[in-house]
Amino acid sequence: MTYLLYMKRSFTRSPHRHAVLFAVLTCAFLLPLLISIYRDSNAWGTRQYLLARSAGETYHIGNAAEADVPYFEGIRGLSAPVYRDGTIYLHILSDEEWRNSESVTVFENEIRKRMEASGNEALLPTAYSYEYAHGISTDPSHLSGQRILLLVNMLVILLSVSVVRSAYQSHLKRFSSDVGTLRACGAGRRQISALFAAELAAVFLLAAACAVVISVVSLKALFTAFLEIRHDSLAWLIFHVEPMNILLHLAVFFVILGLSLGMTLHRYSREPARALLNDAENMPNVKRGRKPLRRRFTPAATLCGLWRSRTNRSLSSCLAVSVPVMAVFLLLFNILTVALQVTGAEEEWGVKVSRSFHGGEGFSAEDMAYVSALEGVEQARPVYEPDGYILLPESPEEVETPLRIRPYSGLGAAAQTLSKYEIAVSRKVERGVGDVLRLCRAEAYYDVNGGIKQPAPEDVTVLTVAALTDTKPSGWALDIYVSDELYADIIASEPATGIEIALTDPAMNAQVEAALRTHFAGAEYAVTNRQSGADFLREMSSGVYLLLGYVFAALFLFILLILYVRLCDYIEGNRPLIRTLHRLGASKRTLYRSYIRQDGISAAAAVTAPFLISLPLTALLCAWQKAPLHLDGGMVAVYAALSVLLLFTYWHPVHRSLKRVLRPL
Amino acid sequence: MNAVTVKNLTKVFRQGDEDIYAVDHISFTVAPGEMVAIVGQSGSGKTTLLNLIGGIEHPTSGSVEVGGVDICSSDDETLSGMRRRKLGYIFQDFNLIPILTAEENIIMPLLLDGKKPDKTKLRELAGFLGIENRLKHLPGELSGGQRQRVAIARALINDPVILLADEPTGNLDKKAADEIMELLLAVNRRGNTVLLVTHEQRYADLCGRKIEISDGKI
Repeated sequence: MTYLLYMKRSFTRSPHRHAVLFAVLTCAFLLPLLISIYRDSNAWGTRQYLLARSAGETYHIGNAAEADVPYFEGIRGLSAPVYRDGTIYLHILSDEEWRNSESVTVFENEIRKRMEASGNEALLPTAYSYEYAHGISTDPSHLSGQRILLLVNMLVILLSVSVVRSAYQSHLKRFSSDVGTLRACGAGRRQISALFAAELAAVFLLAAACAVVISVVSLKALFTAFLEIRHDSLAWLIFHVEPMNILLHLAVFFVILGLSLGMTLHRYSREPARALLNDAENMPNVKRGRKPLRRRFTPAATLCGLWRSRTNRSLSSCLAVSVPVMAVFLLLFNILTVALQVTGAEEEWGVKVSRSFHGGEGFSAEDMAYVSALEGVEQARPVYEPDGYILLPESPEEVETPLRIRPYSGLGAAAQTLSKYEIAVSRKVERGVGDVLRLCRAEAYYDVNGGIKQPAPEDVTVLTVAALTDTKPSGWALDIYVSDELYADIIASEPATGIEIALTDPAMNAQVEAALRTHFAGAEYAVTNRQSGADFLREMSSGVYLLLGYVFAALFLFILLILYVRLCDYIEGNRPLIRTLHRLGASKRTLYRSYIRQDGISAAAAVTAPFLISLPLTALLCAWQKAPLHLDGGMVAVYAALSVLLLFTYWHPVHRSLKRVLRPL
Repeated sequence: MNAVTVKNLTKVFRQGDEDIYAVDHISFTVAPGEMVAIVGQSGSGKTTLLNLIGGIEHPTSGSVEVGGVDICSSDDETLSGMRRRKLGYIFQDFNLIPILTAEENIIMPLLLDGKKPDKTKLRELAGFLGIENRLKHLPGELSGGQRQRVAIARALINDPVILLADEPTGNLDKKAADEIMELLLAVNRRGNTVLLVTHEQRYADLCGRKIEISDGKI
């Protein structure tokens, strides 16, 4: 009953203080929770994506008919085949065998034999690793993304915890006289601790509940509207909340706040009750000013100089909080804006249909005519990607090198012209200028039985590396860039392996893709919808943009509260100084101007420093990525709005507190 | 012209539904160069009267003239200027600024008035008050008596028309209190008008005139 009575008195006596603490705690909890839920959703979505793709099975045998199923029965170590929608599913029964590459190869050979036995040449097998089929991502980019999110989460927790601790200690300081009064009335240490712990528990639980509800509801809405989008009928970001993670976050905050309370009350317990009752004696030890007090143009400027040289710590701490956060945000905002402009660009050749080269067949003139006549197609062009060539080994101990042949002029900014038998290669491969390479058609090198034969001299073309490019190697084959003259000779004898399509309207991509898939239905055809990928990326970037905006809004509110608390405390702490100076003859206007001037200098630094940090960094990043630096009206408007908001954040608490302090004088 | 003229001065504080008369229709004058003691028990209204004369509080009715200027009808800017130029205030709890050295505390009224501090005058004043070797110290490094000497120096730096001292010995031990009282008498002998609020009869007896106040009335 005593606890409830004290809490009731405490809450009703200073509701403003408790409301500020509640708001600070809510924002502090909200920030890491948002990042944590996004991280959980990213991990969950990827897991669901892998499970949906693999269906938890090792082998998917596509283009199958029900009549093929009996051929895959009775394979020792594999599950019974399951037929569903034209695909036969099988999985390795033993997890150990599934993880072992040698046993997997044995199973693959067995399946290949069964496929041959079935006589169905269209069967298309796909194998999934143990990790993939169990939803465990091994994708380095996903794993590094998860690690970065974890790091950001921990950094935000650290920031939030330190701010919450400072805000709570400031809150407790305001109630130090209560501790003094309670002790003077004979309350024991344990009784006082229980009172404050009960008050902390009440505010903490309320703030935690609000933060959890706000973060879950708002992120669910954001995911539903923007982030949980499906590409190829699958989403890799699905809203998901791990309750244990939420509890872990709240536990960290509760422990820190509890420790903070314990340490503060322990400190108070060692001080005499009279000292706690007298605020003046609680003032921190004063240190000698390093700069002498100087007379300036006006008394307000003189006082401002005095505050800046002797009592600027609170404002410096405000800058230490707001400048890094704003700079990081602006940098992220700039990067994302640039990324959005790049990903938002329409694909020039939005859809592509390709045909595998095996058998030497490509697209015919009729195919081209069909594609050109499709609704939504503005232009169609044949693509030649000759992959029937190899580089002959230099010695019998070496092996041949698979090739991808591209025209040098296709690189765009070609630094030099090549003669007919000169080529260029990436500077990242182990070839140098002057190296001689021997080009040969694959069928002139391999015999019909899969063996190797000596190619005839007329089938070999000798090429010399004359230039190096900055292109990225493809990995599985060596990219060589040949002269236009040689390329023309090569493709003259090759059929077109692909048709690229420019769309009349990017929105027509799905319709054109569907028409192509219907017409070119065989397993040898593949349709690539780049426009759909670009649309997906654009939509995804918009979602991430909104998420960042949302996180920043919470962060900005958090900073606003921190600045509000610190600046109000600063002016309140200077109340005795203000009273003394007013008695000595400083007018209210002089005092007001001196503090507003000091505040204004810090506010100006808080506004300009983040821009001065983030803009050059963005320019550097753009130069490095060779992306254009956009500074359009929208960005300038965002900068201006943030500046005004930040100036207001610095001005308002000082103005309000000064009015409150000066009014009774 | 009187240094101070108080006419029918009243200050009423409202406490719930009740009006408390801290100063109840008080009138008196103080001649230039005079040293007047205002004596009375705790809660009699001494400090409120001094605050009204110093322009720190606004009266409910009546008027106060300091050096011929009515301070009751003035706005905050005028009153502040008055405190800087015509009044010197000494407080019981010193009211020194803890972040300033003794020297900086003393010159603060000049800086607030936009004037350049006169180093010769500062040294002369510090020598007179016996704090010349304490000028670079912070208030926290000074004894109670030394702090009050710094407060007196700060009150005198602007050559005020009248020095208002509110229980200047209240926070000091007997020896330091006697020294401060000696200094105030010396200040008065230099020609400064002094209005001293005290509840100690022996110090009041040292002044040229006593005004006894009880329940807000003389």
